Amino acid sequence: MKEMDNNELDALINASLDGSLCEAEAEQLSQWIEESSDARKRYWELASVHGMIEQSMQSASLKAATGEQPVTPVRTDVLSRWRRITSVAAGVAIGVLSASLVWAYTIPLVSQTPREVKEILFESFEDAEVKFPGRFPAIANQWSGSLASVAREDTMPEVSGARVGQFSKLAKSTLSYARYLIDLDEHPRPGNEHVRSVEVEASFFTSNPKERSAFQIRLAAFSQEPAEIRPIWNDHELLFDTVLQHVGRNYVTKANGQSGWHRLRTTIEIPPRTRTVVISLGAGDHKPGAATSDHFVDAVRVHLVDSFDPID
Amino acid sequence: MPNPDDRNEAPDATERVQLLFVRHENSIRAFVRALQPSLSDADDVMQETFLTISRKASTFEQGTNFVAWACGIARLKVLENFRQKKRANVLSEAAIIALSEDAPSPESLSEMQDALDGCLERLTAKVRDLLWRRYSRRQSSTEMAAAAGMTSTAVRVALSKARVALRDCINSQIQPTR
Repeated sequence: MKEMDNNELDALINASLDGSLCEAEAEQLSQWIEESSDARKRYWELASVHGMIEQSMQSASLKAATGEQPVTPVRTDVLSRWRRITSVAAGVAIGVLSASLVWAYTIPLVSQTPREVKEILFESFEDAEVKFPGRFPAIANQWSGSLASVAREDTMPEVSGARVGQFSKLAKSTLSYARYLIDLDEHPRPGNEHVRSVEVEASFFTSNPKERSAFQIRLAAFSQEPAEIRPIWNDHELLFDTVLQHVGRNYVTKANGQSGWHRLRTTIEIPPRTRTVVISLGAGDHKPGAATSDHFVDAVRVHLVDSFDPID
Repeated sequence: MPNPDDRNEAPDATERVQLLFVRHENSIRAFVRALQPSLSDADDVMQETFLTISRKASTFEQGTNFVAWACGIARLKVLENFRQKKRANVLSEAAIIALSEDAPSPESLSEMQDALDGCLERLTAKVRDLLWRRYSRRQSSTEMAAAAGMTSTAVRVALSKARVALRDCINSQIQPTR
């Protein structure tokens, strides 16, 4: 065994983290790691930095330092700026950022291919009379869940219109959800050389930015028609055997953070046999039992994105 | 994944572990990315981990260490991913197992994360920009090189130096209290 040298070990660990190890280097690094607790400790020290930078990169101050994005919470007067961000991760959180991660990406992160984008839903909960069914939706094009249309409070910056959706407080240890189904049969299918994605944006608000809140967008694709989804969704075993594609974005606000709307975006690539897409928006207190905050949603936008992707 | 919402009673086991996943995602992801440096592979592993903890929710004992439980599942998913890809230029399975057995505690990772935020601010704007392009915008070395007017090799060297500098900074921040 070649004698371990810390500088060489660091170089190999860095190459491993960059994915640029050659086969012989991978073999050498593996051997040192298998045989030396010092090597494992050193690996973890560097690899942990690699694993954590992504999270820290989400911090607004750091982005501000790069000059790439403003740091103010989302408000109407800056919304147009977001349109200029053309190469973004599949899931993005914009606004007052803290720990915010995507646990599933399914589409290329930087796309140079021609895209056709069509907005199929814009919801700002302006209808004061509407009553949202509590149960999971049985039909497409209807919101349901723990949600009510309420007048925008004075403390809220305007995102869209005079009303917003308010999540009901349910059990203290879970999020409250609003659901919506898209029936893709209502939309012309793209050509064979296109890949279809559904992109969902929504703005979330907490009444108490001193406490941490959790916001979530989840998307799931099914081959079944909308009326068949409820029993599947409510049976975990069946669902995991049935769902074609599933992505989500979790976003946790900072304690004592700034007041403002938190804008999240998530995209799901649509498998060819997909009939129904479930949109699930969630919000709640980060700590069980805290129950100190009200949570709101507004300006939900859903786009169909068809990207030209010819098969070689 | 789902949260049966045909009722308003207390959440079931699946909902509870899913919420715990939301709360502790940072720690789990840091663990996964350390063992699975590739961003896309780490995303796949996180996805699989989320689905598996949902399936196995009933086996999680309330009051025990959720992060440790979830990382145990994530570790298996990392190994599955390695076996499926069968790449020659990555760590051996034995090395991954050895590393996962010596993984830092969630508390230790949390402490490092806190220190990291301060250490990042000490880097130059140019280096922070490179890190942001790599880790937030997920650019390749080639894309970063084009944007920064550097060679790909220079980009990789700069990233390596940045990680080493951050490691040393973190160690200097947290070791005195250990």
